[in-house]
Amino acid sequence: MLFANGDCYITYSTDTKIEETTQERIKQHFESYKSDFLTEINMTNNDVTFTYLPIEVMVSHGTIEPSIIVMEEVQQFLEEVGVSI
Amino acid sequence: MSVIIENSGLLTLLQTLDKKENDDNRVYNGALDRLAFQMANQLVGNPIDALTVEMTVQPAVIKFTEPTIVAFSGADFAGEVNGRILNTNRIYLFDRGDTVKFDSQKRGNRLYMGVAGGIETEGTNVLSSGDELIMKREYTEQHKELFNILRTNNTVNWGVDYYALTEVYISDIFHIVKVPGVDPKIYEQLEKNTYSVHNEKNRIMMYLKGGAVDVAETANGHDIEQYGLRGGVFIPEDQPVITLNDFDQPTTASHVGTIPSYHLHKLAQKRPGSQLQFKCIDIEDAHANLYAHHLWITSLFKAIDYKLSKELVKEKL
Repeated sequence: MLFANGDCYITYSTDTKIEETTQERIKQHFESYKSDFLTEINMTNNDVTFTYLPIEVMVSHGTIEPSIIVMEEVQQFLEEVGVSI
Repeated sequence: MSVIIENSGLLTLLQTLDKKENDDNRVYNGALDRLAFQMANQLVGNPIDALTVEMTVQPAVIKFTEPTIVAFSGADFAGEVNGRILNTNRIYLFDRGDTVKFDSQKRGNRLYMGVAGGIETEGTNVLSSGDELIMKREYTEQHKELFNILRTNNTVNWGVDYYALTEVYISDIFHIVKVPGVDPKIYEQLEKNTYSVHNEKNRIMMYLKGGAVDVAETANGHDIEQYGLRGGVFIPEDQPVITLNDFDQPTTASHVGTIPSYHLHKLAQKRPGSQLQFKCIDIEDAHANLYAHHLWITSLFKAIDYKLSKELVKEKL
């Protein structure tokens, strides 16, 4: 499940454990990933939480629903590391 | 020359606005009351993300060793220097030897001190009695003119009234952004009850007490790990716990929602016994509120800038 977790976070959550190799892959991809809005990533065994800057998204995209845009970016990011939602 | 922490109070930290990479000596997880942090800097003409001193419950006793322009923002503590009462959200010039003390608090929990030109520390950012803060003295032309203006009265005749901030701080209602899949009955229970702050584990989490919440049927069960994000509302047993900036480990408690950033300023100012009521909302409403809040802060800071420039023009005339 991918959802807006409050106004500054997008979380991917799963009931099955995210393997350590996958966690490492996500971490490494984020380190080299360039984004205008995603600022931080935090992982547990069951979720990946991205922190973003909602006001910056609102201003640059002229929207007051920034989570839709950021969720698309997060979905693409996760697909790039082989995590399907 | 420096700023000396004569008595460190209960918890006094040199703090950043946003979370920063930590090192051995310094843990910078960001200000709990980001509005007060920024306002303290805005008032003294600093960049809004310059380091400030965050003081919780019992503020520090602070001695100044050179003329220093300072503003306090956040909790309404009764401050005093040389028998003169200090107000929050006002600019002051302290002289060499001046010592600022605070007594009782009328309202609020955290006070932020902005110092014109900036401050830093060589050691840990957790300040103890006897520690010194280094003055960065990155003075702008505006700072230099402010020094001239304040030389006569040590303060200006304006500040940001608490009245102007009631929109942000006075209400006890806190929004919770819903998490998909959580039983709507949980939100009904949270909205029906009134909660009070039972305890705050310093900057880590806030324990509430009030009507019981039954989370037995939540979608995210007790064996699923979740990130303890800032403002997360978790129900470990049947009472809500809110995770704060320094919470840094996964939790298996049921996560039922997240308090949006625009309500975290007033959360930071709640102390044991303070009341909280919850209103559970969708993300679209949270973002609409966030944008309105952003516009309000922008206009407040523009007003401060205007007052500062007017003061400088008056001085030139």
